Amino acid sequence: MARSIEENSRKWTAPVLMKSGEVFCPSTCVTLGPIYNESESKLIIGTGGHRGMNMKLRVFKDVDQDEECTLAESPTAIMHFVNEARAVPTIAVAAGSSLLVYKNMKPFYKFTVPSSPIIPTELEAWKAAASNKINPNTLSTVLERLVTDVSFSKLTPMSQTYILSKSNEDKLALIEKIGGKILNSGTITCIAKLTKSAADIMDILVFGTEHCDVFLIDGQAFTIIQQIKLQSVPVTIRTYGMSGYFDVDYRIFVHTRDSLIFSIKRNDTEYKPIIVSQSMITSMILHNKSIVYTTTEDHITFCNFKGKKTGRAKCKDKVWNILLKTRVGITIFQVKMIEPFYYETKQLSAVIAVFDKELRMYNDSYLLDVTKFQKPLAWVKYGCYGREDSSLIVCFKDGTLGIQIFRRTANFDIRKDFNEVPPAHALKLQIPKKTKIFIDQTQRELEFSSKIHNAYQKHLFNMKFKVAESYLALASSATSSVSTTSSLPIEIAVDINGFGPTHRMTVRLLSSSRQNLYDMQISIICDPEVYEFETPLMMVPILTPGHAYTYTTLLTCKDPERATTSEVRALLIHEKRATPIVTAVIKMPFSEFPLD
Amino acid sequence: MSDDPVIEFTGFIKACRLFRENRLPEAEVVCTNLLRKNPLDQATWALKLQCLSDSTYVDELENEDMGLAETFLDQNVIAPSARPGTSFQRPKTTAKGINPILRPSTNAGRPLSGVVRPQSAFKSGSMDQAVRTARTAKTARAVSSTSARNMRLGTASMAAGADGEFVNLARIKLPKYAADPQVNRQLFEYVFYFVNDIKVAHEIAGIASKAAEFEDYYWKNQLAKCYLRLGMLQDATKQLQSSLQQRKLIETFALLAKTYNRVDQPMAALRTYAEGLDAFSEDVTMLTGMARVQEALGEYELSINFYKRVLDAQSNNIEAIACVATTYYYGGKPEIALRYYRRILQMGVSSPELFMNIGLCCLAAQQFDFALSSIIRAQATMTEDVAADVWYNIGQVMVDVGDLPSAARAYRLALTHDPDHSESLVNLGILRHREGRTDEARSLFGSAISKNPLMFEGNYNLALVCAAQGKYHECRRLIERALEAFPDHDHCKRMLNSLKPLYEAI
Repeated sequence: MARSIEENSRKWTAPVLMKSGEVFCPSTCVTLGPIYNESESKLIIGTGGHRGMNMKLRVFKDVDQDEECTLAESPTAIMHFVNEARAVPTIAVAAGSSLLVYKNMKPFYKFTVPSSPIIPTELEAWKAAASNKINPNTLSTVLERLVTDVSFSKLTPMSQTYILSKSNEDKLALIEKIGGKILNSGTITCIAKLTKSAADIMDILVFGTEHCDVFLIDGQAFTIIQQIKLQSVPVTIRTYGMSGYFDVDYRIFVHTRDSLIFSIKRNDTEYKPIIVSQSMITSMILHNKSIVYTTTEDHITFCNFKGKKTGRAKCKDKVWNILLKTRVGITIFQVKMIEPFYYETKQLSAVIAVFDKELRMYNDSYLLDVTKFQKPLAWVKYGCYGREDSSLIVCFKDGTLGIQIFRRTANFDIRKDFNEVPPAHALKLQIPKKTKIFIDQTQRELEFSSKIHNAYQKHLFNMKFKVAESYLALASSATSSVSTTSSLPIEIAVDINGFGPTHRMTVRLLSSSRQNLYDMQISIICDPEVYEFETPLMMVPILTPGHAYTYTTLLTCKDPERATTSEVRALLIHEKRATPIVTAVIKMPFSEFPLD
Repeated sequence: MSDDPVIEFTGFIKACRLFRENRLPEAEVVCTNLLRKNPLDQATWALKLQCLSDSTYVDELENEDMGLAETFLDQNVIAPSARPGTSFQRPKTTAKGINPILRPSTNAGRPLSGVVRPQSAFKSGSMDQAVRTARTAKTARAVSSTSARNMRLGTASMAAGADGEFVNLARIKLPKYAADPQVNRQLFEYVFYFVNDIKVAHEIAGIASKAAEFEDYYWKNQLAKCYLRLGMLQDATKQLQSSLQQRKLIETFALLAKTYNRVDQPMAALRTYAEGLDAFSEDVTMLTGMARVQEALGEYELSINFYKRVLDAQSNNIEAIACVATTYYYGGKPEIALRYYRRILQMGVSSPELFMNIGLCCLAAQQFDFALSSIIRAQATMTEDVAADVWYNIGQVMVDVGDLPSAARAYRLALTHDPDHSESLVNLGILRHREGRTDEARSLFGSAISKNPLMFEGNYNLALVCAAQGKYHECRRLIERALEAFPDHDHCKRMLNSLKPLYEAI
């Protein structure tokens, strides 16, 4: 069912499906790596469950679930890391404001983010409440006053929960449970790791909290190496070891909630955003030496480490988006997430972008591949799974997992420009070369610009005047074939057919007036010596707007041998108007001889 | 006081001198007086014939006015379904430059050239269409060339003679005079040009040629001219080829090439011109002819090269200058075109068309100080026959300036001067459509099409309006007609493709 249907590219093997997996988790709660002292890499997933139920850390091996253990809190992100050389690998689960560290699938250590300073009034109020000096209602009042004074986000998470909880029982339970030990640890939002050095294979954990902090902690002793204060809440952290390791030089890229991207280096003291995105950034990764991020405008943007844009792929399919908007009523972003891809044996690298039902692979200037699926996708994870280096774990929205392997024969020979333009647009315009005369002219413009401007303005005025003057003459004499008055907007057109001496004259009238017009006549004026009309006066009893009326008459050229022509005028007249409404002037063609 | 006698010529000598000085009416009066005294004076008679025929002389090489009958009921065309590029009717497939948007076309559906010249040799559409198209003095074509214009020339002469016809052709002893080498040329020219009785002229030429024992190239050429007028192109070709064997003349080459053009054999015409160039190196007539044929085939670059060669040989050839200028203008180099037009102006030509062209070139080359003043001058000096074009161009300038109400007025003015000016109708329609008056726009486009069914813009614009209003059937018909005028128009093709499913769905 979920077979890859893009037959022509065939870069990935057909996915092996795990339908019983029932995996529902965000893409941050997925990691790949070995769990015990073995080389086989496994898929580790932290599921948040539903309302505090079913919170689990699940491990998948081959096409089945291997084992699981229950989590105490809902995970926000998980990370597989190494904290001792030759020791069992470790899994860090970020849940709330603490980092739960698992070894052998068993709880090993709990690191809690140090508390930020608490507002004194708040602290006192809680202490008082715990010792039953004030009742829960008073505590609410105090806290609500604080909300108006400071701000909701400055309060401790406990106070926030307290204000938001509805029932009194919940509030009492909170007071009982927390009591005087109130803390203000920021909730962890994202987590990443950095290898410490080449000598001892050990990871440094990097994580960001709701209090705009980024912490670097030692993976072995869990001591804080560095604490960095940013101006907004980190959402994604990606690390890049410059020469490979933390001890040498490193870069940390932090994407924050208000769509800024910061670059953090060793020995930095001030942190300024290197990228300020106009639209919401939804996902950010590193690809080779560039930062790649997607926005709500469905662009995939490639930037270098200094923040300079090097490429942008527009993925918006307008029609599709509009349809979705009207149907669902909310905006759906097409690019769900992006994932780095690197195939070592062939040195291939790309960015995998996840769309609703397809995966696209980009590099910084080309679209490399499109893989289509029949089910909507949730997330993908690329890495080593089992013993296969280049596996892609695909999770569908219905909880099915699929495992695909990058084919050994595949390469990126066929590539398309990502902002595909029709070939007609890609053609180079033939822009004529600048001639010497043209350059002389520009020189002249520079020298005499004001004179040229004055002359031009003067002549333009003259010309407009001339047009207006001629038009006035036209309007007052009503010799136009289109009525110039706004009260009677009628158009007349006359055709002459036939070779002569008998011609057929067709008069077409079209009114665009609002109401019907009555009792008009078409009168024909000509040189009576030259032409004779069958009906020189035609009645026009009614003209309804928007409908073309046709009147026909025959006219005869009296003496074709004289070979003279004259003008014939067809006037539309009304008995109550002194001037004709519209006039058509026809220059008659030369008449032929009669066919005797 | 000097007593130098003032020599006053009298009699025949005076008539001769007046004739030499090209004072034809005076010479004719003198001759008439002499003939009253002595009606049998052959020399005077011949001179008077010469005077009369010279006054109505038409260059037969440039006279290409053809009627509807010749154009559409033409039996002379050798290859009716010619390969592309070898026929005037099918130049479009190989032509690089024909694009009605980049280079506007004339009413006859041909790309605009630098000079106005008879284009009736090119048929466009069908006889049916041509007959149905409304006729006016400007656009109407005569039914056949023997009936229309040439007839008019003949009748004009009758009114001129006060004592009735000078030579009564019915009573003259043709064999006697036609065989007389002293007077037969004058008599022929008189009959051919002045009386315009081609049959008699042909008879004279036939007798004269026979009298000269078929050795005189002059009479062969005259016979060919008669055959050309009578539409007997095969005979004309034969006479001209035989004439060329006797003596190579520029006129003969040109006439032969013209005959080939009439039977739609541009390649043979080019070959003839090339032979002519071998005999008369860098001859202007031959080069101009080649340039015109190439232009009609849509090979602008070749055409311009020939015109440039013309200018090397004869730097004051206005046709060549104008054609080169036009090509530069539409090729996106208006500042160079301006130089050429200025050259024409320096040569003493000053017509409203020229000023308009200079103005438009200036505008396109951003020489704003001079642009509008030239256009105003063109407007001030315009004659009735170009008034519509002048106002139309003023409308274009107003659109460029951004003053749309004035532009609409200018188009309206153009339409007053020429109600059939289809370009103005189309542009006025576009302006109306912009204002949201769609019905008016529709009727304007419609009348533009009825005036000029071959016009690309009219058909295309009306098709767009139809498509917007959901009138797909009409839209399809119009698009197909637009594609006839401009087979490579991409958007038209795409619209046609998108309309196709609608038909298939039914």
